[in-house]
Amino acid sequence: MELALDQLDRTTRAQLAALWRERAVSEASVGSVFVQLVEELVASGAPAAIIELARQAQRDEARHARVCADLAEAYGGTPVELPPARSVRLPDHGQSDVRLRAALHAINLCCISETIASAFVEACLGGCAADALRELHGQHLADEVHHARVGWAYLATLSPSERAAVAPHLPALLDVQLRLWSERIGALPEAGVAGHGYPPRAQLLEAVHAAISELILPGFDHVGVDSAPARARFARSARSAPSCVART
Amino acid sequence: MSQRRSLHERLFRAIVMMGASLGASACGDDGGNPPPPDAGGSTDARVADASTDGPPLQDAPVDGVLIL
Repeated sequence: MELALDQLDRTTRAQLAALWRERAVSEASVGSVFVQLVEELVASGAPAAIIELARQAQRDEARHARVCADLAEAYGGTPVELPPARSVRLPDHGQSDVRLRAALHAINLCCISETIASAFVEACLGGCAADALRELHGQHLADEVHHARVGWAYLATLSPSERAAVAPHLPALLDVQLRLWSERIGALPEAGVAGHGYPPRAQLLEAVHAAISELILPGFDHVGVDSAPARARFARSARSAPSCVART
Repeated sequence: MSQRRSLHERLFRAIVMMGASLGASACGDDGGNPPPPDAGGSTDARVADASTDGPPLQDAPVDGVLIL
């Protein structure tokens, strides 16, 4: 894999190797969350096509982990050994209704997190110089788009009363994801690593905020889930965000 | 800004509109969960049929270089 490594000093290569190793570990854990989502979708009687999309997403995450590990090895110059993947479960939100529980999981994982991930990877793609890196990020972006679709597809199958039932949960779900993404980006190099898929931290934060304001909130409106409370909560969060983040 | 907005419009179509369209189609094909009743007006998932400048929403795969 040609990554223009000769342009990097040893410290930067080690930094990139560590970042990709961390992402490999994270990707491996996300697979278990899609296992949970598949279980929930099956139990809720979701259409087979949507269940298959979620199963494919689970398989994709395993592949993503391998790709990230390969990049960690390429940058680090040594084989990467990953710990056993953690089994992570999404909260049940105290929901006994199987369809609402599936909907909240789909919203959390797909409508919010994977949609943000799509914008994040798109921003990273713009920061790739080497063809090999652009190709990897391009494929990753395509996968994240497919993963995000699972949530929007499932919301489109809900009845009006079910859509009304999930709406009050949106502000809290969005809050948690925004915090997690902000923390994750906060751990990345502030200036980024030019040409290697890590734009400056401020640009990545802006991508996350733009994903929420331009994709996710309008998306809820599009599928008939009231986004007003979530918009209000997000507007308050944006006002208190660092000045480098675009205001909504 | 206009370039970024164009990019997000494409992501919105690719993610939200195609996803919603897939869900509505899957309901009809599967027969398990019928489309929700009274999903009228702008809340109807079938609003995803609104014209776009891309290929048919149900069938077009996402290209690995969507953004280019």
